[in-house]
Amino acid sequence: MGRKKILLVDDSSTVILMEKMILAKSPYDLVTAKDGQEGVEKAATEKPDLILMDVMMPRMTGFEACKRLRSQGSTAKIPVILVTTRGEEQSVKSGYESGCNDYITKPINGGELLSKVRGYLGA
Amino acid sequence: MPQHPSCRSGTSPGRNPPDDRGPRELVDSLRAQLGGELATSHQELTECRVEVDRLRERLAHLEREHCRVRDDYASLEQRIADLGNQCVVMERLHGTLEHREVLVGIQDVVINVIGSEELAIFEPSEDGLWLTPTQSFGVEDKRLGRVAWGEGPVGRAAAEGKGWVVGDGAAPPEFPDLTACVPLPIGEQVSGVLAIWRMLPHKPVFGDVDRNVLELLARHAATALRLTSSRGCGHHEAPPVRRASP
Repeated sequence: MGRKKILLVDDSSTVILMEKMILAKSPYDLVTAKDGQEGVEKAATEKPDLILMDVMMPRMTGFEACKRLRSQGSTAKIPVILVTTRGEEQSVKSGYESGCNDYITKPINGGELLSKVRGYLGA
Repeated sequence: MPQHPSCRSGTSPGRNPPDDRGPRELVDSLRAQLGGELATSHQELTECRVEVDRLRERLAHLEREHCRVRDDYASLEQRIADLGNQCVVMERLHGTLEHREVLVGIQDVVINVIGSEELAIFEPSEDGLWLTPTQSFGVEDKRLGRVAWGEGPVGRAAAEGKGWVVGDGAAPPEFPDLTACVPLPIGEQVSGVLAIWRMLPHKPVFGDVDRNVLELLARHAATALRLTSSRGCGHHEAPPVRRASP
């Protein structure tokens, strides 16, 4: 069975670096996108098994990108975990309404991220 | 219900010869036999109980060992995460020759690694008498005026080369919601001050890990800011550095 692929979508190179560091030892291939628009495009071409998506991004927010992914047949079923600095109830509700499967809050906790990723993809 | 062999009457060809003992003898014999079996069973039961106790003890030991390994593993994962954070800080601060990029990098680390969206970075003015905010995020304008060297929490942090971090005592009266105000030191000199106000609502605690990251960030930010300025690689003119008073 091939390695699982994760698409990391964030305009902050710090967050992308952190996510790469955390996931580096796990058997996943990582691809990146720097905003929601690029994330939607890469999701269609790369066909990742999981997407980690920031919320506040230029060009297209994570919420909007998530809605787009759900509306396209080829990406509709890809699990999306939103990565957000906003842990408030309203923000979480908006995330689920946009079609995300799960969310984690920044600053990213390595253990929590790994646990959620493994939950969707297996170790 | 099957009968006990000794209770059966009659014989069949090829079996034991008929028991010619009387009923009392048979009962006594049976009682003796059952007593022996009961004693054996008691013995076996006792041994089983000892074995169960031994297994229970072994299980408890394994559970303790499991907890210890799990805690060690969690601690190791945390340590790896901390080291990862430190690598991220290094990469963000030293992965560019642009002064502006270093400032953005410091801001990005505070937001995404430490967990605050209220911060400002102050750098010394050309004449070295003032500290001017050169990068900020989520802070009201009234907090972002230039600050005289040595005055207020920001000025004092620069002049004394010593910062304040929540937990060090009472917050400065000027900024009661301050989380940290630390100088960016190069040896005995200071190339700026980083002020952090409120932490993110879901991360209210500024812990030891954050303190370590902040300390590392301050040291390396100072060097990165100074290097990118003095090389003239960015749009920012080289700010002077001033020696902190002891």
